[in-house]
Amino acid sequence: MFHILLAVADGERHGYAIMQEVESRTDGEVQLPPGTLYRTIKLLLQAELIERSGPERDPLEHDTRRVNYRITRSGRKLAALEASRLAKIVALARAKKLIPDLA
Amino acid sequence: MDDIRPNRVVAMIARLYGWLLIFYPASFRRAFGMEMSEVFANRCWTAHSEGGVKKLIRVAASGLFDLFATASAERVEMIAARRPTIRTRAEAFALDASYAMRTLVKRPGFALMVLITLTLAIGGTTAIFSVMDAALLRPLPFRDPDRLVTLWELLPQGASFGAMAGIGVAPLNYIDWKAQNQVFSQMALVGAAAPNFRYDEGSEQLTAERVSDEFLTLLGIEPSAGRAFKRDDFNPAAPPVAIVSHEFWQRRLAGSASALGRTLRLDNQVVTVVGVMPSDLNLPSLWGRSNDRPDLWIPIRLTNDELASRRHYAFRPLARLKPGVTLQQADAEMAVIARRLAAQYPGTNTGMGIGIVPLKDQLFQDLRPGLLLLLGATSFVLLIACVNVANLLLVRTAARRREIALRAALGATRGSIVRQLMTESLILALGGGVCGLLVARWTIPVVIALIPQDSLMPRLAQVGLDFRVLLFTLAVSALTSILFGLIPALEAAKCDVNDALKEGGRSGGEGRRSHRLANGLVVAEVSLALVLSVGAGVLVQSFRRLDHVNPGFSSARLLTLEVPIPAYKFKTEGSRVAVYVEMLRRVKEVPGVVSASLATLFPDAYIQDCVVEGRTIESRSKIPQVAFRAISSELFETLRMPIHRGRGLNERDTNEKPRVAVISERMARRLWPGEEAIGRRFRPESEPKWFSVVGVVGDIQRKTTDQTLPEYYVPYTQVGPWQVMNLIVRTETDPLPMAPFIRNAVYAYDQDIAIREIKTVDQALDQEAWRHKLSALLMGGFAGVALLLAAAGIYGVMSYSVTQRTGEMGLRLALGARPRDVRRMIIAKGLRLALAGVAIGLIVALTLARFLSAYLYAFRSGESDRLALARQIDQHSALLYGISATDPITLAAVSAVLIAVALLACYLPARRATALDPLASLRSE
Repeated sequence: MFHILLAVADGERHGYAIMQEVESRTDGEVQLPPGTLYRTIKLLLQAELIERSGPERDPLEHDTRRVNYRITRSGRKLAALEASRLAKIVALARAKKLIPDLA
Repeated sequence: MDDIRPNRVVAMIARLYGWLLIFYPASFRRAFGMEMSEVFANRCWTAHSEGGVKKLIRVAASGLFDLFATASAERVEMIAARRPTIRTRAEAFALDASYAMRTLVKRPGFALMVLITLTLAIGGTTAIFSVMDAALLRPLPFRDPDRLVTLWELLPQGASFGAMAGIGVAPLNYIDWKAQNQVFSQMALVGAAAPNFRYDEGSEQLTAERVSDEFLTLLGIEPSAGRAFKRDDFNPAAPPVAIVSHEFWQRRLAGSASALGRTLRLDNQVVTVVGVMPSDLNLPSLWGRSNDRPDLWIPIRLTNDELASRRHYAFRPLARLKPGVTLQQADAEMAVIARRLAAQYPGTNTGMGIGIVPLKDQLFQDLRPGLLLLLGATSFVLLIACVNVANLLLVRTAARRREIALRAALGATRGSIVRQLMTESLILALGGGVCGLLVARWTIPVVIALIPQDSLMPRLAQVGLDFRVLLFTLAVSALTSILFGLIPALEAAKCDVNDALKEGGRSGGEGRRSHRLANGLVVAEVSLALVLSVGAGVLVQSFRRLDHVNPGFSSARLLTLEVPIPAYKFKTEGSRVAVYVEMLRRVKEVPGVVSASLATLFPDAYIQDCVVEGRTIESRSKIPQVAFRAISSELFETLRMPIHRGRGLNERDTNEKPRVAVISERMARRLWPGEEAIGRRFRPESEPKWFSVVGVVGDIQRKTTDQTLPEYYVPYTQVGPWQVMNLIVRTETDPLPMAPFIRNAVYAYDQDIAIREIKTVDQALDQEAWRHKLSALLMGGFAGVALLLAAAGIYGVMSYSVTQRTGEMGLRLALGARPRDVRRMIIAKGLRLALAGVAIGLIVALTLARFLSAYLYAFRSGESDRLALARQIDQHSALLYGISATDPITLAAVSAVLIAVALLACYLPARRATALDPLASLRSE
């Protein structure tokens, strides 16, 4: 979920691009097949962490225009919160010498 | 080539993915389906271009797997999300229910009235249903029972009177049928036997069935203990064996396991018990006395006698239809076989047909019309009750208009108001259902008590309240609540808030509409009650006529006993006559016995074809059928039947003398119309010797609706005494207590004579009428309830509408109308409704009577539908005797009663209204 949020953090992306972004950023460690991807997108949309942009698609017409997703303000806030929480945990781990200090 | 194929494969996989999206809930699919397909397709393309087919397969597989996983997750979530709405609905229902309870409790009189009405109706319906369920609806306890049939020989067209179209089957014919047909997968032969069972303290005549070796497998039954018959058991030289019924095992073999292998002395044979049938078999005898349950089954070993003639109509074949073969196909095939046999054996088989009767019909046909009629009657009562309650509710919702309008004004939707009112109806109906079940519990034993034990009512013991009946009652209650609740509820919900809240809700448009509705309900109620009462009236009269039938002899203080003479002991005719003569002598000496005589059957009789001397037979179909009894000479004296002309029979009519017969008036009229019968000669079609008519006696009339046949009587000494004769004894006092003395007298003479079927002649006659008695009593009861309900309903509606118009009447009175005129106006309105109801009811009754006429009257066969008739062979008695279903007197009387009830129902409230002070009634608003 966090990955998807990050993927749309720096601009709007459509579904396939989100998937590609996540896979390439994680070196293929996180795979996002379409089912998982869109279930997550659904949850994020419901929580209003991301929103649709671009044209509304008519489900009956075979409309091929792509739907883009972008992060909302609360989404950004939540991502920041989560990132800083993770950063704190990483810092803690680093202090315990579990991982090498890169800085 | 290499480029194209992967393209097509990817496109195919993508399309497959698109189809599989159907697994997602629709909302999810609509939102993301198209994007998902795109993403999936893109992924596949990329995978293929990056890593070839291997990677494509991996990605596609993971995509599909993911689809199923997430789709089920979505579905689960959706169901989880839905559950709260179920909960809220349940809460809403609980709320409605508690509100409904409070409103009902507030008006206990109303609730009680509705409850009583529904209890009576639902209780009656449940009771009748449970009897019917046990009797007709539950499948027979055999394997695939719907494919089981029995076969009959059909007499030539037109040769049959009433119910005697079909007869038993001759073994020779059976063998040919079995060999030639392609429609039955299995066939078995059943014959009757009545062996005399000697035990230490006495003897008893048993009901046995001789069965062929397919019998058990055909029915799919097995002994619960011991073994089934083996092929060897059917070998004439093998030691005789028997399978006994569970009941016999309990009664005579102490129910012990050691009974297996024990020997029984049956007639002069020693028979080994090899098996015991299951206790729940409850299979009535398939041939032989139709209302007996066999005590034991023995392997059939056809004797040379039985194989000598194609006229030995003494067996009943059972058969199982092959899968997919219809009754019609079987009929057609058997008709071909019958024609073939007729060509081959013209002497015996000319004109004979083959009848196929489903086993179920053969066993239950008899009961079906009566029970269906009763179920129809209870449904009518139920309908009337519904109309009644609907009426009451309508009146009440009218009174609650303000409350309902207030709720609507406060934001209740029409749906929620209907739901609220329907909840009330449902609670009332369920209450009625529960009380109805209690009523049924008490009614069922009464109904069962009305059915004689030895009637062919199957599985009588199983009648009771069980799960199926509970389910039925629940369904009926629910249906009822809809029937009586929906119209008033919808009516109430239509109410206009503004109008209703304004000024006490004087009846405006809705008022008129609900008046119309109430009027319609009154009309419906009157017509339903009329139909039911006409039915009951006709049935009760029919039964009364049947019950008061003059039997043609003095039936009081007469006892009949069945006396079988063991054939193994008395082989010659002469020795049998001697036994009967000596037995009669001894019975007459018993103190208290006025007179005693013998008859082959009484009050029943055997039936045969009859040939009149000097008259050529134009066609077999013209041969008259007559009933006959071989009797001892004292019979007419014992029965006190007057000899109308000529002489009776006497001791001098022995075997050496020319054969003589005494015939009934009906036979004299039918065979020799307008001529003197005495001195004429006739003979049974199957025998060469003539009987001379020496006397004419009165007719015997039995209490059945079957057509009465002409009868004749011959000396038993001249036709060779039957193995089983009936002893008919006239006593000085109450006959039943005399039975043991008579039995002792016979027993003292010969211990191997096992007397059975002891009853008074009145009992025997009544027994034939039990079905009519049952129908008449129950229908009468239902009609009574229906009349009461209808009266209450009419009164309720009338008094309500009169009350509604109190103001108007006050106005009229104040303006100078005379109270008499106002009353007349109201009564005229009620009368109009009642007349409309009566008219509709009469039309319905007449239509129904026509529709049901096949069941109502003794059935007559058209020449064309002989096979349809074969289906009902011997099982069908009419419901009505001596009266038409459209009897004008009954119709008029019932109509008059209902109109009178309606008039009374209007008169009372009208008098009340006009008795009021005009000012007071004006102010009543």
